[in-house]
Amino acid sequence: MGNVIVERVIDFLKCYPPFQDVDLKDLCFLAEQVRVDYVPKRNFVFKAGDAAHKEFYVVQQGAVGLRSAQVNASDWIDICDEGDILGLRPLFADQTYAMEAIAREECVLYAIPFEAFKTLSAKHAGVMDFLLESFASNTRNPKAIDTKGKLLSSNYTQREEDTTDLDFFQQAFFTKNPICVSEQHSIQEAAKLMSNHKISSLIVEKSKRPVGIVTDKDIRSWVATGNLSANTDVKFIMSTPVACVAEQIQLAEVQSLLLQHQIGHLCVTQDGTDQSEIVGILSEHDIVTAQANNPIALLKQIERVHEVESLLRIRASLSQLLQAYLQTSLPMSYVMKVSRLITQALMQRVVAISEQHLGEAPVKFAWLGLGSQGRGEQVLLTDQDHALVFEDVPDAKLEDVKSYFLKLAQHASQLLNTLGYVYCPAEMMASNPDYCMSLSQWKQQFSQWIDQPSTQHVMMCSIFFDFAKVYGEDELSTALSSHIFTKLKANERFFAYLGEDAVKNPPPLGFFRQFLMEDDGEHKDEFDVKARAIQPLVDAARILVLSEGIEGKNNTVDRFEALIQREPQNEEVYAGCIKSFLVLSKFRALEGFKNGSSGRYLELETLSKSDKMKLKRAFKPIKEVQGLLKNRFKLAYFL
Amino acid sequence: MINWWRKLFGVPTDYPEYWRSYAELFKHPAPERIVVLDCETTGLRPCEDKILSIGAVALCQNRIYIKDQFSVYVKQKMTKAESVPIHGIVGNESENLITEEEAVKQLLAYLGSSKILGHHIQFDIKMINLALKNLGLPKLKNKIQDTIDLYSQYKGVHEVMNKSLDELCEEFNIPKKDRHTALGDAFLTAQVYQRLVII
Repeated sequence: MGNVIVERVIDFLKCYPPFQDVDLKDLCFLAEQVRVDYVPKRNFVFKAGDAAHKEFYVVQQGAVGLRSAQVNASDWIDICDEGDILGLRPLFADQTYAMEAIAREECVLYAIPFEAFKTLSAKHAGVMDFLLESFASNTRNPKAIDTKGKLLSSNYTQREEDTTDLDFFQQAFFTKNPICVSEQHSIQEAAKLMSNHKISSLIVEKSKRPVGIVTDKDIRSWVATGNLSANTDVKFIMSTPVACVAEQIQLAEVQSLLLQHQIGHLCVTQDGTDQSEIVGILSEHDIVTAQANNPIALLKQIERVHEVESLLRIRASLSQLLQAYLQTSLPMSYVMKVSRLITQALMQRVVAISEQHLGEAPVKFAWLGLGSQGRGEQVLLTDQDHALVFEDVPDAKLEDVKSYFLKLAQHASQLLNTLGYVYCPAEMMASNPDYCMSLSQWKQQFSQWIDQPSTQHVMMCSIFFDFAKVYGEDELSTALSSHIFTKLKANERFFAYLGEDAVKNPPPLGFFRQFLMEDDGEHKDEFDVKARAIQPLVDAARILVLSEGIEGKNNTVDRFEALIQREPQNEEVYAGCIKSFLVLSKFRALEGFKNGSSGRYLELETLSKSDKMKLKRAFKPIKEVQGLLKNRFKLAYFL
Repeated sequence: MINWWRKLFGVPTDYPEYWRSYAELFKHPAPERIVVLDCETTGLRPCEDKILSIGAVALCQNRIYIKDQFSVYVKQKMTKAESVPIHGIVGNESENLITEEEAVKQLLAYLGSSKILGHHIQFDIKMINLALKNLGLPKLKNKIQDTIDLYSQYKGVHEVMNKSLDELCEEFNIPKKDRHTALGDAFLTAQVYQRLVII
């Protein structure tokens, strides 16, 4: 006969991480050391400043709330329910607790001695990782952590980025000991060197440091156009400064840099700046050969193709690429960026092909992407959301001009639909006469939405404010955007409406019982990650940049980054928002690819405990930024 | 004659070592430790039935220490077919059975001078005392407390409220597992106790 009590404890523990990965023998050892505590409702498990207990706790029954003693009483930092771990602080930090833990309902806790646990975690690597994550999850609230806690949280952040997939994050391959010339070499000498070594670029060095780079393209354009003679020093044609990277650079970073600077070569130096010794050269070609199906290749293909079939193939490659990226731990910001650049290029191409088909547009126009397309935050295929603005024309010509653009929009929209971007059910498309208008008509439309705020108008604003030019004339989209900013300036009434809209969906506190699930309908027992978590962040970023008058930032991450620049005092909140946004977007993208859906609804039951924890942690910054919004807008108006 | 005197004055000179060291502990103040105990028996009549197993787990400051537990299965000549379905112990089934004297010896060492708690504990105590008597030993010296009395206090009622362990578990939302194993019942009773002593 086995030991029934120990078996009971094991039965419980083995359902939850990190215990589920521990083998039975070790689990048995651990279960024998467990102490069973009963904590009545509203009693403390520990208080802030209490001397550390020799045990940490697993909630077996009930729920324990964690809060900082300084923060007002209803402000729970975290709620731990069945299977959650708390009281880990003594394992990592100093000898007292930073928060208080109170039973929200009557609880049974399993107290596990650190001593027993340490022997075990030495054997099972995943166990300690999980505890670190738990700890970070409990203390994410910046108000609750002192320096030590912070240190740990930031350690954790690094850890997460370190645990990247090695297959993808292979070190970028580069050519060592590259051929260099000095500034005084002539163009002819440089050309000879390149041709002898069959290379397309040369680094120009000065005492072993890179000062410039010369490519065969530079030589062709300078010499062939006859502007300079072959005897000229290379320093007159070299590109400078040279973009440099360190030896330890990952493929993905290189891609990102090449994309960002629109360059073909990077110089590898000892410390990654142009102030240190040259180690090698890294060309776009190196990357392309390293990765056949890469974003740069896709971008180039888009520019070259003319047929829908080719675009379809590229669109499919993009999905494959993104899906593969998501499987790795590649930073979500990079995945989104690749998606954004390629999607934009694709849309651009679609409109260009449509224009070619219909003949050149009668007047200047701009094709605008709206909503998530405007923000460049699409990873999955979504509905089409676009609008078109054209130059003001005399009334007599208006009808003809508009009918051309409607045709253009219909053609483009049809193409997009073929590519998998289905028609917008609400018809927010340029093919709808309401959203295909001249500049002054658009200005009028925005004025109306802003001057007469209503739920409907605020909704329209939240979609249309995030427009981005996809194709056409910058001056039109810029004009529209400055009109909006002028209208919004110090418009407290409008911001109050927008602010109220932005905080209408408070974040869930935790996966505490059923309380954050969708209550009814098709998506019962699922979690609406878009409406409950992503949208609030997007809305917050939008209203904040609008009120600060920060123009030209459309992307949620970029917006928060701009806000950090503007308001360093809120850096912690905004940085938290960026991280949450990326984590949540990743959840959504994974879910979407898995089920071929919009990824909007997460099935909580299929999530692992550690995923749930990640999600939970992502909610906290939402709460913080909403608090900030409430202070800034709603109260400012109503008081 | 000498034995008679000894019995009269309770001088335990010829008691076995294990009893003497048990009795010795009561000279010091009782520890905070509480032992929650349950016996499975061949039936409910103390005069004819026998102990089949004893299970116990200890509490300190109202916390259950799983490591501090006790469980023995006792070899008995008699088995009663009608009680087998309840406790699931079939006679001579296992090799881990020990003699009643060995069980008592281990139990006394485990109990020490701690307070004993149980559900309808008087029955279990009676069974143990009978086993002690068979070995020529005195009754248990420990303080005894019954969950039923605590429950009445908890409810603020003066007369004894007769509730089964099942009913108490249901009332306190304790998942009923391993009912009718001595150790399982002791663990459940300990959990009931945790809730009863807290006001």
